Amino acid sequence: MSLLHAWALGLGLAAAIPLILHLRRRQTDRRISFPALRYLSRAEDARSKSLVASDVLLLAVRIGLLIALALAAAGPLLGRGGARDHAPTDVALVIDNSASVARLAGDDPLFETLLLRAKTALEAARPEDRVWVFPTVGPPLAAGVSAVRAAEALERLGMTDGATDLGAVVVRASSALPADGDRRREVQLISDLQRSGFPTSLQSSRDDAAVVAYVAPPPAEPNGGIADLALTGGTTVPSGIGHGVIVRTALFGAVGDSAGGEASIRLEVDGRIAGAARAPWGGTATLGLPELPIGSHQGRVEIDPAGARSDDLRHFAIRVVPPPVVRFYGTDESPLSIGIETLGQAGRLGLGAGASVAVIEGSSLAGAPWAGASTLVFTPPSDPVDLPAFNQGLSAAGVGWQAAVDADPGDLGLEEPGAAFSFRGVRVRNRVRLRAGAGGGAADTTLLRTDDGEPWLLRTQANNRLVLLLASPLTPEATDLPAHPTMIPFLESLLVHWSHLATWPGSDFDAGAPLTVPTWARSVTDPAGETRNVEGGGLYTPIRSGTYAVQGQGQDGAPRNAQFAANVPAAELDPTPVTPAELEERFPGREVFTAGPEESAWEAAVFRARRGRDAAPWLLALALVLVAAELLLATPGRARRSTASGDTTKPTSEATSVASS
Amino acid sequence: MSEPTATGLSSLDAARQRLDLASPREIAGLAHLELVARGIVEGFLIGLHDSPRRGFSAEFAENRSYNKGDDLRYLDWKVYARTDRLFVKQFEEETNLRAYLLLDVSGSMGWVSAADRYPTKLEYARLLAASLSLLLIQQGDATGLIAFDDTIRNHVVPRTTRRHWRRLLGELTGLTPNGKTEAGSAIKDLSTRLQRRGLVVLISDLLVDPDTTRTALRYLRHRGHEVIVFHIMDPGELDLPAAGEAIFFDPETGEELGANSAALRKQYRAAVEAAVDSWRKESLRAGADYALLTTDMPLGIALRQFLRKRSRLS
Repeated sequence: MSLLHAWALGLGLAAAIPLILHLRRRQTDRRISFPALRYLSRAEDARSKSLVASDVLLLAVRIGLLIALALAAAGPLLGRGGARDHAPTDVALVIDNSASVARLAGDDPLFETLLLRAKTALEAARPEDRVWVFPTVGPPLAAGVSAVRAAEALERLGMTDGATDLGAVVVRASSALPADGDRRREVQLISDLQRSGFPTSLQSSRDDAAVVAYVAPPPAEPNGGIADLALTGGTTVPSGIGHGVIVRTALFGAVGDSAGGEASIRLEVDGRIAGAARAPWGGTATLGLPELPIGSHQGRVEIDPAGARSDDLRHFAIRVVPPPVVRFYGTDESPLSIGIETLGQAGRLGLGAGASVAVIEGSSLAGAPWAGASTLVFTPPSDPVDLPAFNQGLSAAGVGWQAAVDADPGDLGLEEPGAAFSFRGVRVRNRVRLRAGAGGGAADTTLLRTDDGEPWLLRTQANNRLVLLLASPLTPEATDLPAHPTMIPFLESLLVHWSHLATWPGSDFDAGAPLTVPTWARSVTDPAGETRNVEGGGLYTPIRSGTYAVQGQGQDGAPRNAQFAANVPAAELDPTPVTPAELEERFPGREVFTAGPEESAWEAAVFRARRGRDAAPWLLALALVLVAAELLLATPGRARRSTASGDTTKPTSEATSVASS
Repeated sequence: MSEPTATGLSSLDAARQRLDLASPREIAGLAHLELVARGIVEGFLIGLHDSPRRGFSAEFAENRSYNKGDDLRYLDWKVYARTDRLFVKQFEEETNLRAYLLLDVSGSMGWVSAADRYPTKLEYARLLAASLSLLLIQQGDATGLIAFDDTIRNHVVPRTTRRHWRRLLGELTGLTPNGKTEAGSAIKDLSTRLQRRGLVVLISDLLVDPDTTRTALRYLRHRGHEVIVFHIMDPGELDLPAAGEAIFFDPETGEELGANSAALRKQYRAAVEAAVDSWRKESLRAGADYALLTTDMPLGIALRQFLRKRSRLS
């Protein structure tokens, strides 16, 4: 209970007046002669039986009356009051529109319930309140607007397939609220409170904005989905090479028998069923992609509905390109030459004229034979004497790196690059030290290192060409690689995958997370067919899962395009909510309140700065009742006398009956 | 006997015939008790009555033959001289009633709640006694008076003459309220004085010890006396005065009681009703008549009450 005018409680001291009067009432000096004292004495005796009780009751009524009046004057406010009885408040309405709220709660998606709760909170707002609306995925919808405007903004809000860091959004929303001393600050978090939505712990905050979180109804069934999808050859693959799709499933919230079972997986490419498989929940399955013609293709992997629908499928985009044409400049019988010949014969490479990739052994730089190639691959000479000529050749090619003699490199291993093949057991005995010169530096990529940390394979650019620079000649004397089974896969990676700048995109993206579009991009078309202009190299956020098309223009003016897939983040699959206690731990230093899932509970929880219900009218009504009671108690028999006008209550006598006769 | 011409009688003349119905306050303020009492009685207009029994009063009725054992004093010697036969004289008894008025003159009888509206209880009782005595004497009843408080203060032996009535008025006029009340002893004392059965009229506010008084009344009845009890009360005793918080004290005993009249009014009325009811029931049980008179009631009411009793005795 709070009081508007606490000073008025001092009026309650008047409650002592009846008590004092009661104690003093027999102290009178007024004396009256009255011979019929015996009747008075009997009356006193008769009354004494009920005197104490009635006097105490009368005393209590009078004291209660004065206290009620004093309390009413003090303006008491009881309880938390109605939903609209709160102090002016700045509210950050954080509403979850991530993929996880697509699960059903009853007959409708949970998102619809969250929207209703948001509207409930807005209906409880007062005209002087200001509202900020923060979807968990996407930009703010409103800032410092009235509840009516905020409700209009909510109409534009839809579900996404993205994920979010709820804690980060709450902090961002809280910091958006102005620190106005006269106004209360409150963050209303309307979410499924997915545990994975709090990936990081927050630092203790002194922010005084209370967090009022809605507790959604728990998931009614386990949620299964596709946790991950990987293309074995990446998103850009040369034609003629078989590739596959690795699918990993996940199941959350299952108990007992429902935790077992398998997921039926279907592969679809360009709208056609391309394969099917079964995999246990939590396991993986690999489905082979069909031979695809050169060009861009779309596909998706889908499982039977299991819980939330949005995570039951994942999309992918793949681009099939012609295999590179490689020309070798060096000793014909060298292991490198033999390897390239082998790959060419297998159809993994093209050989001959018009090569886009020129492979140059250290001693074969004379005459700049690489003219016309877009990628140059350099290996150092086996003899250190040839290093100056090798460096001159690099300089002539515009490469910003130089090779220096490494007197005693020792026996070194290669760090695995994380590719599909392993360098385990491959040793390096001779190498050059690669030193960055003019034009070489941090922007270049070290693809492989020796285990002492020195670069062994560099990728750089020179004169609009891609340059791959090895630190050892691929000879048996310099390294074990030529005699190792890894040699051919290594060469394929070197000449097919690493021999061109990474084609955008390198992988699929998480829906809801901003991505950087290529510098040549001008517009993006989403899966629904809506095209939005973008700035090249800028950010774009795909909010729905599916395949997006990017259109643009190259430096030469030629049209360019690409496509990418966006999918529900794996973190969204687990619908397990945090407990209220865990939620408090997520926001150290803040006041955290939870309520729900019923609307009434939520309505009772929002707007913490309630002023309570005005109890003064009730107290005044009580005072009136006490006044009436006081009149009845203080003047016993009054009503009866007024109606009987006295005579009928006189003692009857024969005399009076005679007189009347 | 000449008519008195005291001051104030002129206003009385017009209403003389109905003084029995006049306000007690008005007639108590008049100076001459005899005239007032006459006015009341004449207004009341009660005729004489015959004695119910033949006795040995002065008026001769007839002769009868002498029988053995008759009192020789009543032999009619004149008839014997003429007829040589013995006759005794028989007389018609005019009255054999001897009435005593027992008047309470204790201190409480002098109390009045509103002097401008009511007479004191003693003034009212004095008028009542004067009127009753005149009524009795006019009927030939011998009427006496005993005034008492805690002792007998005045005692007038019953007589039937008008002179005796004037003496009674003189005694009544001289009475003043004083002392405590002890009706029981006065009644018992009276009963020892009454040799013949008669009528006892007790006029009191009955602020007495009820047990001894009732015992004494029963004793009177046991001795064969008829008893009428006139209970005189001031209207202010029926209803507790609106005095608020005050200390009430008994003028007779000095006893005090602090009380709030507003808070006790209901219970006080019940106590008075209970007391009156008790007196009525106890009187009836003892064979006595009981009448409650308040000092605002016309005296004719009291006389009518008395007349009914007296007619039964006839």
